[in-house]
Amino acid sequence: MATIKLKRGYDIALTGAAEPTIEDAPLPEAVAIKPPDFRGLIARPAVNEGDAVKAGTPLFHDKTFEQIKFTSPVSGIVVNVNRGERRAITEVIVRRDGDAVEQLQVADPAGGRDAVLATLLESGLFPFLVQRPLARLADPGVTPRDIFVAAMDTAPLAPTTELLLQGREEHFAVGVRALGALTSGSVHVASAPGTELPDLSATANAVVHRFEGPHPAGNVGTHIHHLAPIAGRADVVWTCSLKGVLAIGALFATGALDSSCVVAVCGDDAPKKRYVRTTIGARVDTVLGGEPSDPATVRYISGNPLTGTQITPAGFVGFHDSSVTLLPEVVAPRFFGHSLPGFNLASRSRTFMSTWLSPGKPTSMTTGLNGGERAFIATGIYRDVSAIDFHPEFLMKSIMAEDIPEMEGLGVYEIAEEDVALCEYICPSKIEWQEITRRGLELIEREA
Amino acid sequence: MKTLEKLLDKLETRFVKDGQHTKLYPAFDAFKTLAFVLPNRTTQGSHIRDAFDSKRMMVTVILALLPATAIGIYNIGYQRMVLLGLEMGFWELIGQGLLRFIPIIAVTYAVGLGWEFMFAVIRRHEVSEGFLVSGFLIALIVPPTIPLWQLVIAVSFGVVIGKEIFGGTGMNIFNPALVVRAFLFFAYPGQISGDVVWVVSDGVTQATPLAIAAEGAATPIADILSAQGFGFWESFVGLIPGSIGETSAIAILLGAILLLVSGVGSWRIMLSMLIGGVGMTLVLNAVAPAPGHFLALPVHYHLVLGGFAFALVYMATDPVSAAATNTGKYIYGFLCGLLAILIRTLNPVFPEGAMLAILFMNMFAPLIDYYVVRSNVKRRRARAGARAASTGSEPAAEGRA
Repeated sequence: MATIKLKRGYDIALTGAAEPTIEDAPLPEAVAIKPPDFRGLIARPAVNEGDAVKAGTPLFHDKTFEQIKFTSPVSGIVVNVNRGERRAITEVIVRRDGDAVEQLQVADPAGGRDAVLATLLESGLFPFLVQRPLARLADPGVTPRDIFVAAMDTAPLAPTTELLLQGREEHFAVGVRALGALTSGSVHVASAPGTELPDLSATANAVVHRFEGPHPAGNVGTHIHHLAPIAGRADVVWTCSLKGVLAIGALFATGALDSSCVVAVCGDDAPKKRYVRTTIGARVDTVLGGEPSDPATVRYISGNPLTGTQITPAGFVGFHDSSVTLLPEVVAPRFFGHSLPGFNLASRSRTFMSTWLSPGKPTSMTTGLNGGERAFIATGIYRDVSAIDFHPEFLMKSIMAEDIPEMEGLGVYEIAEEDVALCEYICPSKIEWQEITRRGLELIEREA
Repeated sequence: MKTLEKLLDKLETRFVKDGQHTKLYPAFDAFKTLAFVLPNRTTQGSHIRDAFDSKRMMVTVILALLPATAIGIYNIGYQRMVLLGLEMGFWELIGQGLLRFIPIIAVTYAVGLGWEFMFAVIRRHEVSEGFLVSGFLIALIVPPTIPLWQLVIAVSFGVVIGKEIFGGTGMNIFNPALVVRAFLFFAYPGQISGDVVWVVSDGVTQATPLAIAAEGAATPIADILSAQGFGFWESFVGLIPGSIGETSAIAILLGAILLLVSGVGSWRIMLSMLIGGVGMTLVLNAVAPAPGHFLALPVHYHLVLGGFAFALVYMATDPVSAAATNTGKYIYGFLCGLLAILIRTLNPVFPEGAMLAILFMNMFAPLIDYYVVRSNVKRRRARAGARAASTGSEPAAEGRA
């Protein structure tokens, strides 16, 4: 087990990290499952507003793969089925009431692919599995070549793996065992060199790898690229977040659906910065504690500042997310800001004094774009922060030109939005890299 | 600061939708964003963004141009004084220089930004700050005697044909400042080359060192140049006739340090162009027919004479028209340096080869990038293929979707 050392990348040092203690958050009044959290999903509702559901009752399922069910994390009443553009479902909200649980047939994690798969589909935990290429909801009919688990996170303010794992070592080991039944290849678990992982020897095809380096060393796309790169459209692997492995492990270890999860509450404007134990899809108020802030001055983000989703103060933690970040919205213009020395501004560029005087020092950041959108001007810097060996700005240009053969050659199958988030962060032309990537992935999904 | 903010806010009402001058909003926006970094919020993707933006990039380049500008302005007056045998004080020299420099840069900016604003208004996008640098560069690479009407035509050509028809800053193939220079060179050769244009002196002849060096003789060329007043140190400091900003190697060196330290200028291009130029010079020195022949001009003279240093630091490093890949930058820079010296020495009609060499390489930059990117595509494909072969695993079946 060699350590893979990565040089290219950049760590964004932000203030507002969560204290390394886990508290129990009050039970949420409501939870929601949000179809936009899953790319490729077309949700068909299985319940109506006003229906009573148990923990584990399907709320909706996928139109393409009907066996993929999305279940309620709690028992209660469906209060809202919200719809957005073209009547696509955006969230299904359940008000928590009672603690009735659907009885599930839970297979032995070593009981073979079909049994494990059936349990995952029935329980509503299958959606934790994301397919690469295209970073979409996995297709249960495909046996993935390998499964990748990132037991590390190098994004700014990301939760630490040790805390997410604390007390749940057995769930992790069982989760990996269940995943091991799903693939004909290996379950690749990647973590930072210092992290103590539970013993995975019970899973014959589990392999542990160590990755060291600046962000995006912790991205699963980076791990796939360095361990067993994707050869093309038909070379399917699955990925599963640490949160997913723990939920799956808890199901197989206890025989019942366990919707609890740990979420880091962080960011400069978070009232209490710490880790909380809460429920999947919980409404954010109970997670945060303290008084709600004015959304005009504070941005609520489910996830980390690079890739997270903006939510309202009455919004819900995303299905895949293990953190909630509250950042100050930018309000004041900076007079002649592009020409001043910049002693306290966060930047990778050496044109700022802060890069010289206090390198790596955590800095407070707002949601400012810090400029206006331009055509690509700077060159070479994007590759310098990409852990994948590709030419990111050329890939972006091929997506903008909708040139699919070119996109394939330049590596579109190897990436998801998060893999170019750092390019977007440093981009002096303020180009929307993640949005372009999303468009490219959707184009391929449609056309190919 | 607050007052300015309020004033701009008040003015903005006239430019926003349904205001009096809605169509001119890009022009207003250009001024506003020049004064302030606006509190624009991220709307999708990453919620936080680096403080670095294209304006700061351009401002850094302009800062790096200031030493060359200062010496250039002084040198305009100084050359006039030397040639006419006058006695002038420091401030008088500066005054003489400003008298020439200010109209040149004012006309360049007025014409160039005029076009930029017009295109921004028509295309309804923000005014790009690219011309702040291009305009400055143009003013520094023309002779101080350039007729302003020629500048108007050349700048128009450079901005419209050199940049805007491709889609504006970031889309252009050629460096706009060099397009201006090339246009002047071929359209009005009498005003940008020859003996009379380099010193503001009403028609008194004064050759540039490159022109002298191109004549050739039996005595070592360095001695010939020194005898004409073009010793190495004069050329290094920059008190010799030439284009306004190009003469002082030391000022350009200061600019280079700023560009390298700030990371705004590509060290790969600068280094490889230097190597290309030095290498080519050594080859030419070896085959020079006589010690007084131009081919025998030593390396350190090549570096301080003419536009080589300026082109190396400010022109070749333009990120838009140079090669974009890091590997490509080495190739691009090396060929720029090699061609610059080759054109300069072997074609006496164009003693100023660096600018033409870079324009030429601008044309090849996309091709260089193409091959660098292709090799990356191949390498990744080979890796993925090798992995599939070594594990013996077949790619999984195609999804049913």
